[in-house]
Amino acid sequence: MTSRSLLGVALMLVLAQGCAAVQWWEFSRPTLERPESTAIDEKGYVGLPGVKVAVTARNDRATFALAGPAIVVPLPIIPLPGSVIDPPKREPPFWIDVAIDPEGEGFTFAPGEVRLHVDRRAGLAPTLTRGPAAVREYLGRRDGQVLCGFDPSGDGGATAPIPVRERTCFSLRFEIVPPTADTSFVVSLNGLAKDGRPVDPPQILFTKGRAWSFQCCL
Amino acid sequence: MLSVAMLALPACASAPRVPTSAETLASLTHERQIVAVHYHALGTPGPLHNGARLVHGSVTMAAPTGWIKDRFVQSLKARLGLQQIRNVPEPRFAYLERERVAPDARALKRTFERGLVFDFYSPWQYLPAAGGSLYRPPEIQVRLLRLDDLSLLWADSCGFDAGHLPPPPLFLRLESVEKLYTPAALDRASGCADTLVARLLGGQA
Repeated sequence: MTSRSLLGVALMLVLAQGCAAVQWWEFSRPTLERPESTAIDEKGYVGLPGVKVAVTARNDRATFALAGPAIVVPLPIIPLPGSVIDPPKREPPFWIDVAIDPEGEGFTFAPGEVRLHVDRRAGLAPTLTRGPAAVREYLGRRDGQVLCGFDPSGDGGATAPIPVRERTCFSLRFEIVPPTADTSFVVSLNGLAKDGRPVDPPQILFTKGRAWSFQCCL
Repeated sequence: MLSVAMLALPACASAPRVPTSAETLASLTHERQIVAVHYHALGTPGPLHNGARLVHGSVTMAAPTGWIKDRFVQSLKARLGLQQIRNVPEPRFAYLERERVAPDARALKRTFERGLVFDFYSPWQYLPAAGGSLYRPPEIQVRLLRLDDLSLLWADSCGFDAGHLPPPPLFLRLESVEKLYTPAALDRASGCADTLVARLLGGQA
């Protein structure tokens, strides 16, 4: 093997191993306004009689990162400020995802009835809804707070109650600038009914949460 | 390339095959609640073009699960006189189990609670926007599950020749996967349903 081919192999090995990054995130973590009534499980679902619901807010952003090569060992040594890698969004819209996991066939959901309360102000109604869609599985930090996956409809604007017979997801668009993770807000999950009778809507309170992630190599 | 590999991988893992037993046929005739469901067979929701912009270069599609299920249920009702089979028209989302071979049976139990369920699943493939042939023949996988204990009473699969598929409409949203198949291909898909009924009934046919 010539020195040139050795150099080529070495370069290929370096490039093939790629890079490593450690990222710190801020996001709005869902909790319950009345925690005595029920609890949120480890996957983010609130257990209600006969149904579980999960709500996520798509206002998460990376606030700081360390990046670098991953040659034999990962070396994330170059600092990257959040304002560079993920600047805060200053324009609407703000998206919220709602996942519903019912038992039985009697549940319906009218996504247009969900209300968003920011700074204790009057409830905002969504201007657009998407779904029913599949719920994304194996959600990781890298995927952010997007809960909804494959959407067979590709349309929006459902207003009538939609039958929900399995784990199903809806995305709701609100015409406001996405609040920062420091801002608390409440989502009133109206619109859920069982056999035509409204389910007592849980009030999901979002407060600041932090997380970190590590990505390495190719 | 990676996406193609990810779509092809589930097909490499073969679907389980469980032959019919006399007990299975007896439970079919005695069970009061039997449901037939199918999973989404069209993975591309909107049109391929948005104005002058190409949004998707291909359609993600599977065998016509609803079409084959309807034919299967109709045939089973006629041959066994099973009027208690409920054919659910809305497709379900296929939440695949970890090994990525079949949809999670626990989701069926959560919806229908008890009784027997036939479910019809088909792995997705790509059809180029220019039309043409699929990478491999579409395959439909059918299971009969008892929801009480999630036992697998019967499982089989069938493939059919989709032939040459015409180009999908570029500017319109596809209503269903059946619109992508030619009438001749749908006839062959119906033949697949008949084959599955014959295999289920075995000597009873």
